[in-house]
Amino acid sequence: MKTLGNFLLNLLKENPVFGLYLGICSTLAITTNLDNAIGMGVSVLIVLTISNIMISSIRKITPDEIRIPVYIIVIATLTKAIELLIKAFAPTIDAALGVYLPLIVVNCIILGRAEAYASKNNIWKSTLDGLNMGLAYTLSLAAMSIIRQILADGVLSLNNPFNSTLIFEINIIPAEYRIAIFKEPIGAFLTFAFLAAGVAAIQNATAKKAEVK
Amino acid sequence: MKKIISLTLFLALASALAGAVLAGVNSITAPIIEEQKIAAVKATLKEIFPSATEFAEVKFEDASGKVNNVYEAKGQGFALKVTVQGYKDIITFLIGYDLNGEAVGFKVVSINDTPGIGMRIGDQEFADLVIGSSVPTPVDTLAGATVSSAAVVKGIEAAIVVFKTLAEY
Repeated sequence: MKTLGNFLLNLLKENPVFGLYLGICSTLAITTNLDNAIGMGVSVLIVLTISNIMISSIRKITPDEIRIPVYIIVIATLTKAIELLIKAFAPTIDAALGVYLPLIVVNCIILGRAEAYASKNNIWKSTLDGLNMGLAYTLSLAAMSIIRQILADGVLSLNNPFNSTLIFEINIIPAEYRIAIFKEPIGAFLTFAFLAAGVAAIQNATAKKAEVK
Repeated sequence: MKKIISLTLFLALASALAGAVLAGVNSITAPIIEEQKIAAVKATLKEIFPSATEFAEVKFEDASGKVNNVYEAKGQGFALKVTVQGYKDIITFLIGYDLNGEAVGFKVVSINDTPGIGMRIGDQEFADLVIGSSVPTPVDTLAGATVSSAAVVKGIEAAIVVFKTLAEY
């Protein structure tokens, strides 16, 4: 039960993007709309979880000297496999994410968790860690993209990635009050800064509470 | 020495396994990806020649280097895929001519110029101008989007040269 409690707490406390500042490159680049964020987030979640499982299961037979090259082989293989599957079954995601899809391989969250967690813990814990980190990454991307899409486009919409049909669309801001700059990189940095500050404030508050106790 | 050999073998084995996995995934997805690509091109061609049922890629000669692909809509005309240098990035568009040399369709596939200025050539306004043009009287540039539209006009001129070698109108 304790593992499950940690699972939820870690979503905010050990958030890879806003807490550990990992995987920021893709976070800034692709969060222009919710479709991209979900597509990227779920792709990373899958690669991260499977890579954690595999690396954890081979942790006892992997020689220490070459562990990093072995991790890279595992991660690169998974990324390429996911990329091919997305190209085949969800081409709209592939078109939207472009070069960032193969670049999952250098997403530091994945190698970071392999080295810091999966190589030292059992398969069950590593699976949870992968799901936890992947979910936190997806939620972070979703938060960024919701803010940016609403401010820049004035609408919030989600398409089905497999047949590109619209799932929902809400018009929020009328055309003349939209802030196009949030589509640009500078908008990504601004959004990121505010969210990171917010998460840091929450973390500080809970840390102080723990001290008082 | 023994250590190095065992490490090398481990890494080689891991790589071989990874290669085998990828080969497996590739053999499943490759035909589907190929179909997707053809379907995507067909969908755009259908927009230009809605009533055509058969499309075929045709060989052509192009001295300008701007025309990438030419597709023939059987009995209807030709669609040419053209790439030109826009203001910021390359612009790719499709233009369709029927057998009388009238422009029947224009679709910008990719463009990355300034919003509100160069990007306007992707709008319906410019598409209507192009569709009103024909081989003897090509389209004019778009006021307020001179750089991007001049590039496209040059591309259309190159497309016309190629079209003239393919069709007798």
